[in-house]
This record gives sequence, structure tokens and C-alpha cells, in this order.
Amino acid sequence: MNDPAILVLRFFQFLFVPIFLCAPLVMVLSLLTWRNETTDRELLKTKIRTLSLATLSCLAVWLIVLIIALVTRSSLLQLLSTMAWLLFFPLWFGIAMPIARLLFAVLQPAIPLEQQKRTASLVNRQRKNPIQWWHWGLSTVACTGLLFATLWIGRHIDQSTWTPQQSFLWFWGMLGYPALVIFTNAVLYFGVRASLAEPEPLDSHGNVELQKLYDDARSNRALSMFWLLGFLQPVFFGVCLFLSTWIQSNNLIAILGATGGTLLGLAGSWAGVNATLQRLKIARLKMRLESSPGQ
Amino acid sequence: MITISLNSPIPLHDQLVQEIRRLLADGTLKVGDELPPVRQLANDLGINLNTVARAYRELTDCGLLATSRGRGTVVLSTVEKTTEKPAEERKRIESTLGSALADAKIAGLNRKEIELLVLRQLNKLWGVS
Repeated sequence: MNDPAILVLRFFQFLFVPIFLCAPLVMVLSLLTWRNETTDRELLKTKIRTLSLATLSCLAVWLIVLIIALVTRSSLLQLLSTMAWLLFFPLWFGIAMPIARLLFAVLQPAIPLEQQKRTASLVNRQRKNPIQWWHWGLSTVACTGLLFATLWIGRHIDQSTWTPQQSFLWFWGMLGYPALVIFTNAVLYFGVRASLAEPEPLDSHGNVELQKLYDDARSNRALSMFWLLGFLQPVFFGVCLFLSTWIQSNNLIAILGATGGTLLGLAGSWAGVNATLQRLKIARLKMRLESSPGQ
Repeated sequence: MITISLNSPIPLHDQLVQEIRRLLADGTLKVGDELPPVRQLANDLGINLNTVARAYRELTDCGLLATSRGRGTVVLSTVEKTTEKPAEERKRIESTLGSALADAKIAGLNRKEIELLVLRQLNKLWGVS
């Protein structure tokens, strides 16, 4: 424990959850310089207050679980306190994202209030879901395969050399991994459905180019969500679980986790930037069509 | 595509009903075609959900649309199920046509121009004869 590297690692492990939980609030506060005269300041203030309270509540929950875990020396509660970083997602998608949308009016798909003539497509976008049954099948096969491979290797290697903590982690990993996959896929399923229902207001003449841009943006958005959350992330976690059971080398797992996590993060950023660029392209075309109607 | 105008004195749900009826009449919408869900159409047009729901309900009552769980709202028929007697129905249509033609005359259109307008609409609905 006197090893400085271990101390640094413990320090970062401790900071990991609060950093994640505070990130949405920090990001929103750093975006405040983008507000302008069209921003609804009252609504913004209310939403920031809600986000602050929600962040504080999440931090309090994490701290209480951590303190109880340390006092009772419960490994399960320690694991739960580490998993509290997952509260980042409701904070970000539930509260912080709507605030970001409020600040970046150009990214909002809303119809300008002054537009008197409004046109909508007759296509049911839920039927244009680019995620087919084979996407879900591929993800299920990969995750189930990794789960059974981990189970098999765990039953066939000599577990007598394992510490109680390693056995405990393996056992809970076997339960936690399928639960995580099912939870992520359920969130993804409803997330994709919500993303397909996002408003796609057309110009008064139903410009074909605008419809094509909407189609591309919608399809890319749904597919990026699937490949990141429905495939790469669960497969990555599955591979980590398998290797940690098989090789039992903390250093290797740490390197793999850091590299894989970074690559996943980069892929997510690329998808996010790509989606924003497509939104900007749509906003620019809409502005052009509004300034010269009839194109 | 469905187009509505916020400037129009016609209520929004009536505009929606008229638009869908027009699309059924000119063959854009055929029996079995699916319409967008209420929420999607309301979001795209920037109007209240209940307005779209009311328009769909009215068309469903006329026997033109049908709503079922899982399939959404589909075109059931392109011919209205009417409660009025045929003679009364004919009288109502003639009166509507008469008002439209009177509007055209008052707007300053001459007979030839009105004939052209009527012919264009007839061609749109029944094809060029």
C-alpha cells in the first residue's frame, strides 16, 4: 500500500465518480457564455438550479454508500459506490442536454414561430428505423458468447489460487454483465425510438434536399447510438471480464481498460461532432430556404 | 406532404382534415397506406397533439382512416361512409361548388379562367381525359 503508484491509482479511483457526476454541471456552466438575447433566461435559471440540486443529490448518495461501505467493509457496497458514475447519464441526457439545446438555438429542430405556412412529411419515421433485427442479433450473440466463455473459463481454471475478492468480483461480474447489457439495450431501444420521433419541420415547399439531410442525420444518429452503446461498449466490457478471469493480470486489464475506454470515448466524440455538423448543415439549409422561399 | 397555414381563418384541425381528404382524392394516399403517428405530425407542424388527434378521429368516424394498436393509423377507404342520403349529399356538394365558383367570379376571374381552374382540378383527381 506504500507503493506511490497504488496510492495515485486509489486517489484517481476515488475521484472518478465525483468527476463524472459533476461533469454535466461543469459543462453547462462553461457553455453559459453562449447565451444571447433570444435565450429564455428564467427557464435557463430554473433548469440550472434543477441540475445543481440533482448533482448534489447524486454526490450525497454516492458519499453515503461509500461511507457505509468503508465502515462495514462491504465489497458489494464498495462496488455499488463505484457504479454510481452511471448516474452521469440521467444527469447529462435528462437535464444538461436540454440546457445545452436552450443555449444553442441553431441546433434546435423547432419551427420558427413566425413561419406561418408549415409542411410535414407523411412518412412514419418509426418504420424507417435503420436498426434491423440482425443488429440486435449480432449484439446478443457477441455478448452471450463472451458471457459463456467467461463462465466456462472461470469454471475450468484453478480458483483455489484466487483471493476472496477475485472470486467475489468474478461472481458479481457474471451477474452484473448481463444485467448491464439488458439495461443498456433497453435504454438504447427507447433512445432510438425517441430520436426517430425528433421533429423534422420542412420548409413550406417540402424541399427534397432538406428531407434527404434529415434522412441522413436520423439514420447516422440511430446507427452511431447502436454501434457505440449496443455493440462496442458491451463487447468491450465482455472482453475485459473474460480477460480478467483468464489472465488475472491487473496491469494488463488496466492497460486494456484505459486503451479501450479512450477509443470508445473518441468514437463517441466523433459521432457527437458528426451529428452536430449534420444539424448545422440542416440549420444552414433551412436558413437559406427561409430567406429565399420557393427554392 | 401535408401543409397547413397559421394565417388561414380555417381552424387547424379542419385544415388537416381537408389536406388528408385532398391526398386521398388525388391518389397520393391509397388504401392501406400508413399515416405518421399523432405525436410525430404534431411535432413536425409545431401544433398541439390534440389538434392532430381530433383530425384523425374525424376522418376515422367518416370511415376513411382506421387506427389499430401496432399498425398505427392507416387509410381504410378512399370513399367516405356517409350518413346523409345521396340526394342531400349531392345538394351539399353542389352548394360548396357554387360558393367556390361565386368566390372565383367575385375575385375577378372570367369564365374561361374558371373553366381552366376547374379542368385542372378534374384532371388532378381523375387524370387527363
